[in-house]
Amino acid sequence: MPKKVLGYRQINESYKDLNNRSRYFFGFRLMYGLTKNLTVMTMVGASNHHFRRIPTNLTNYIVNHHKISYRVNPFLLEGFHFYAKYRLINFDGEQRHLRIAAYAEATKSFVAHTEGESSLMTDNSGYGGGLIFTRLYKRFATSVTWGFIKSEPYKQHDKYRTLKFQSGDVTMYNVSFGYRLYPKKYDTYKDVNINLYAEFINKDYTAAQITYNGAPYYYAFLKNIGLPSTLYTYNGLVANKYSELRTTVQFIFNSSNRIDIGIAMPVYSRSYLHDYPLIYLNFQKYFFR
Amino acid sequence: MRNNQSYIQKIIPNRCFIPLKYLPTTLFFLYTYGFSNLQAQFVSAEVAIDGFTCSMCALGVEKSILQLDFVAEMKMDLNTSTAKISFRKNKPVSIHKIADKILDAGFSVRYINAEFNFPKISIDNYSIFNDGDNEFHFMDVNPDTITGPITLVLLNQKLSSKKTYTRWQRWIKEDSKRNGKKEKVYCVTLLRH
Repeated sequence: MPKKVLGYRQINESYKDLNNRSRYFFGFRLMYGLTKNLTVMTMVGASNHHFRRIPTNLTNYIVNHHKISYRVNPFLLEGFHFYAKYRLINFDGEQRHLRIAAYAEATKSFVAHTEGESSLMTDNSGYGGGLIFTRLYKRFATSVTWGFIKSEPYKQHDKYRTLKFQSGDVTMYNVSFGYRLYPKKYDTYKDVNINLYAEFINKDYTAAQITYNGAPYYYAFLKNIGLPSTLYTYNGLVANKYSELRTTVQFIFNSSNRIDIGIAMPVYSRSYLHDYPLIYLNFQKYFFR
Repeated sequence: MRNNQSYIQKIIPNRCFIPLKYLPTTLFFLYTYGFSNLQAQFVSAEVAIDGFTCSMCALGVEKSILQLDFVAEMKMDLNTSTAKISFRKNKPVSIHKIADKILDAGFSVRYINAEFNFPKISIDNYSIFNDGDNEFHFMDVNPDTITGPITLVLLNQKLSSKKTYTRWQRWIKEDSKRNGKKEKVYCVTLLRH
């Protein structure tokens, strides 16, 4: 972002889970250009994806929480996400650039995230970082992100038990492509921009580890129960590697307001953070002084 | 006024302290050295910016530059990433600050061509013109006399592209040897059409 420019982004995601219940995530992010090279962001997230705490009967929860008969997840304030991006290298040319930036992020979460895949979009407490390579050439842009996520274990102490849930470590290598479809030639700042955007989210994560009263809790039994819901739970806990395609149409109004409408679908394996199709509608605005 | 006053006597107030016979000479010197020096200033600039293609980025650059109090108006060509900037007459202009604003917006300068209103001066390679606010070091120019609005190509590292600066680096280094290395001077050549 330009120096001393403030922006906000409102993130709205929705999908139907395997029981056909509607699930939502809302994020409100503030962005600020501290220097010409450093951008910082902070986000607060809320959703009905989680419970605040894991119920006392762990096995009952692990076996049943994806069944249609299980109680509905409440809408909860999930946590706060902090992000900083620093531009390391910058080669600018006429209507083109090549840039390399490093980013670091951290999240403080207040919910019980019980999936194998770590996520810093307020699901897990944890930290992460990586590099972003961006190439712009006229109306076409490509970007490659390599990063990692390391989540903090979710810990819960009750009168008669201690529970620790550690989501897996994530390595990601995302590739995105953007193209300005319209206008081909600008007249004024008021021209509506229409951009097509496609991002392949590629993640590789290790299995979840559950510790119950100090001893490992093995969840392989879920596979043997044979119900769709328990198989879903099991698959969401074990190590996985997947590729997901997010296609978005971006509309930019008055060169400062942006609306993104998009859909995410699995390409190879899948993510268990959400079901598909995942629909999102995001709003973004920059405040130029 | 008496009826037999000359035309000049009629238009000059009686309280004018300059003896009438010296008025034409006085006016001539005021024009060439006095009034012209008062008008010695940046008039406008054409700026080309590298690193973006979209109007959102262009707006960020434009808003950034318009914050400068000496900028009167800016007109951006969104298709070529170039902008024409006109300056306020009564404010000191700093082209360095314009370049800083482009960098703060996250982009780079491709070139800056600035129009400066010169009094009548002689120029040559490595000659210097200093009007108190701005110092110009001329490079690769034929011995000449210039006056009025002249378009200069700015060659400093921050005010040009890497390619341009590399090409002119030899001249700039020679200028530093001859004239001393100073901050905030403008290393310039004349725009050749």
